[in-house]
Amino acid sequence: MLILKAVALGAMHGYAISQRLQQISRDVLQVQQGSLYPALHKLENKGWLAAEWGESETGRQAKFYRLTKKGRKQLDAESANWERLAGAVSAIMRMSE
Amino acid sequence: MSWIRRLFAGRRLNAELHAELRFHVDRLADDLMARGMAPEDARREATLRFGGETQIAEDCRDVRGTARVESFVQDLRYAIRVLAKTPPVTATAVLAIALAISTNTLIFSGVHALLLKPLPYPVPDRLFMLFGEIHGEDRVAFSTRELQLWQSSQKSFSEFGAFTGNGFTLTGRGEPLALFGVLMTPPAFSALEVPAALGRVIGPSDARPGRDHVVVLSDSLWRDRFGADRTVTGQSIYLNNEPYTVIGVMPPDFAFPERQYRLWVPATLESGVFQKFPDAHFLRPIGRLRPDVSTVQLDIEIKALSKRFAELDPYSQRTVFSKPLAEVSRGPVRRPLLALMAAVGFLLLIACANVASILLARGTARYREFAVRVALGAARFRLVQLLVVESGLLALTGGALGIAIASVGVKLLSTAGASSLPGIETTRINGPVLLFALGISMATGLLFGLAPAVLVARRAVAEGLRQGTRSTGDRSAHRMQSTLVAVEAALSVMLVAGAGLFAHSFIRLSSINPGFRPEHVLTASVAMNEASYPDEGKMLRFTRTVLEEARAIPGVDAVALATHMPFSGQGWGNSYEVEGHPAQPGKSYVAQIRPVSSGFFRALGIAIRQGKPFTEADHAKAPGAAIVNETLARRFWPNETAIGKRIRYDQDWLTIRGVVADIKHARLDQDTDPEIYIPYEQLPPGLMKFLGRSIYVIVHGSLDQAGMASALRRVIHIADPTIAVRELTPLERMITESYAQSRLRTALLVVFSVIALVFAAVGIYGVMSYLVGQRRQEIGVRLALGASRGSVIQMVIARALTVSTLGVIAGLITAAALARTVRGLLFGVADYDPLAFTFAAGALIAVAVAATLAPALRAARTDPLTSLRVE
Repeated sequence: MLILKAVALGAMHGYAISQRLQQISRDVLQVQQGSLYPALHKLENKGWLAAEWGESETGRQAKFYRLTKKGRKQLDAESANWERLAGAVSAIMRMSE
Repeated sequence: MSWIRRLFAGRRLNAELHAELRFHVDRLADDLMARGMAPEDARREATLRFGGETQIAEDCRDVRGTARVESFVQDLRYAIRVLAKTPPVTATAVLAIALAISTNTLIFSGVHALLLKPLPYPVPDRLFMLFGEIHGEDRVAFSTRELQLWQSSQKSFSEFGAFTGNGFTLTGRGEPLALFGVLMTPPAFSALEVPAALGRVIGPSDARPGRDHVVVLSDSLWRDRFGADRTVTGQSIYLNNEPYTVIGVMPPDFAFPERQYRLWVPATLESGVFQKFPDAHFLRPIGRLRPDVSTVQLDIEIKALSKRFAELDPYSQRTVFSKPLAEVSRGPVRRPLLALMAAVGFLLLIACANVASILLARGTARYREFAVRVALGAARFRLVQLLVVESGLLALTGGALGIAIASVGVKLLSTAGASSLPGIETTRINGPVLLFALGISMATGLLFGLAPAVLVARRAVAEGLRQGTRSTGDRSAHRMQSTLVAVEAALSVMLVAGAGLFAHSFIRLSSINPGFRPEHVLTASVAMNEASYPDEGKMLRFTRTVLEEARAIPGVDAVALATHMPFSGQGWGNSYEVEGHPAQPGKSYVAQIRPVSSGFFRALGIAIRQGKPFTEADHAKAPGAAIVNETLARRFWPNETAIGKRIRYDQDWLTIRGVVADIKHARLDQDTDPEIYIPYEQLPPGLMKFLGRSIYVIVHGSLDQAGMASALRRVIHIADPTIAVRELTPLERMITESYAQSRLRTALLVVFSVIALVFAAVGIYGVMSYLVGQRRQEIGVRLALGASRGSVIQMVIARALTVSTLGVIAGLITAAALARTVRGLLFGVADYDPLAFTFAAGALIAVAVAATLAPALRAARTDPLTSLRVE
């Protein structure tokens, strides 16, 4: 879901996605950077991301991922679920006070 | 990208993946350098932060979802390489499998065509035929009177009718063609429920006097003689010199009762021959059971009806039983075909044992390779997969080759079996047969591949990279090899013993003396049709002319005429009375009546035991004479002469003129019935016009067959150019054709057992070579310690013999047990025929010794020094 969100704003290559995730989460999520790629490929196989090779900012060839229509639908569904879950959790947390 | 595309883009995807990951690491390093880190440190830090590239790349590849297939493809290519490295071994295995699968496919195609393919009628298992049984002779036909009784009373069948075969001569469309057709009552045809492909089938309005000269053609006749002309309905043709109108053509796969019957005409029970001889038994009832009637109910009704009718008609004191139509045509071939199927099944198992031992030997030689794979992290499953892929490849290659061989074999089988297995010409490699071949190929691959694979994989994992080839684990491989040899020996001996049984039985059968001299005897079958021969006068003129002219052929020594020729498949059973020996109340004597001309006994060389043969003087106006065979004479007059006694089968008493030796009439392996020979010319006019139309002209002479045949044909043609000669066959051939099925069976089994022996030889040779190779060190030690080379040879051969003999004994015991099931197919040999079994055991032992000889000699030639050198 996080990857889908990161890519929602525009096509990005893997390094940029990883940078963006680190940036947004304010370094709370620390994972081995490479482990991003199996996830990216899985999302691509599922049809939620579409990939294209293009020229990066530095002039080298890179693989760019963008959100597909299916992916957007999936992202919306997952965020809705997440909101619901988060709402429920915080409701329970508030309850015990 | 879809899964399929990912499968084929493997290489490109891997390159892209590598580039993608590289890009990330490079950018990370760049960023770090931009922040001030030294290039080398930046590189190292980037790689660290990224994570293990190999692992990540592997995870990415796993996500692709094609790992399973890719590993399979990889194993496949590897297997091809490995198999290609040892061509002789691979070729042996493939050939063994090909032979086994080809024979199995071949026999199965026969089984499918003759036993499994559904009959060409809708819901065929509701079709039943009725048969009578009288005095032990079963499959007796019904008479017209009986049939009409049954027709009016029965309730179980929704359609019930009858049919009878008849010979026809088709004229007016090219050369006169003699063929077989069927007279059918309309309900019989509608019981089959098959519509015509063109025109219509026989209907109720066709079986009326004056309206019954219509004919339905078979597809093959329509194509052969009418050029597949679609306007053929309504056209007129001449059958037996009478005009018939074509009303329809049947579909190509329709046949009734068998493919050799090529046209159908209505049987009009109210007129013609049916009313002239209402008590003659030649009609075969057939019907379609009502949907709500079970076979049990049918049998109950049959019993009740036959009891009731027996009280009405003294001649019908017999039991009637029903048989499903499928059973009628397939019953006789089921047992032989299944026996053949079992035989080739054994062959397949032997081939599997062979290939299994080959793979096992190869597997143990590759322990080291497998150990390396295990060390590199291969799961046991992968090792097994690799070996199974190899064996699968062998199996499918062998299978494909086998199917190719089988398709050639099918053609041979069709021609060879044409006379003995009716319907065999429809055998083909079709869908179900191919499926079967594929199925057994895969099963074979699994069978011979799995056990060695598991064994080898298990050992490889356990042993690791231990040095040297000798260890306790070897013993299980050796044990398996020895077991395989024993199994092969057992199966081979069973096949050879089986072949021996059938061969012995066949030799017995074919050497039976038929009771007459068939050599140099030629027979021609002709039919005098009603239109050209309306009365006995014309018939006799023809027969006398033909006999006279035939006698004049140079080189001909005797001529004769008979209505029911031995080994023609025809007979005429009738009841008879003996003066002074009344039959028991409610029973009657039955004999075969044989109208023959005066030269008959001379032409066939039948010995005359008492009295004299017929002469020309025995014509229609002379006192009635008869000649009986020994069986009949012995029955009534065992201690006195039969000459002068009187018997009759019809109105008039006949005086017995002579007694002749018994001859075999229908089959060599059947006992002779009582027979009454009567002079052909003394047939009562009604019977002569009914039974005497179809005759065999017999000549015995010293000419070559071809010369006599053309001369005889010429004589008949001169006597009447419109008559077609149906068959012109040497009598010897008629006899050999009577046991053609036995011959085919035996030939096939002999071929299979030879293949089995070759398999066994190759298998034993392979295993012994392997074992000898494994024990080189031990042999070297023995030789070094002073053992003679001869004793080494002895040791090797003894080893092979022990295992083989165990297998042989097991095989013979099983064979004796199984022989019981084929007892019905054997003639004159016991189940455990000592000759066949001894021969089989001997053959196998000889093969085992011969196959072991080369490895044994090789072992004896081992140089102790080289073998003892540590590897």
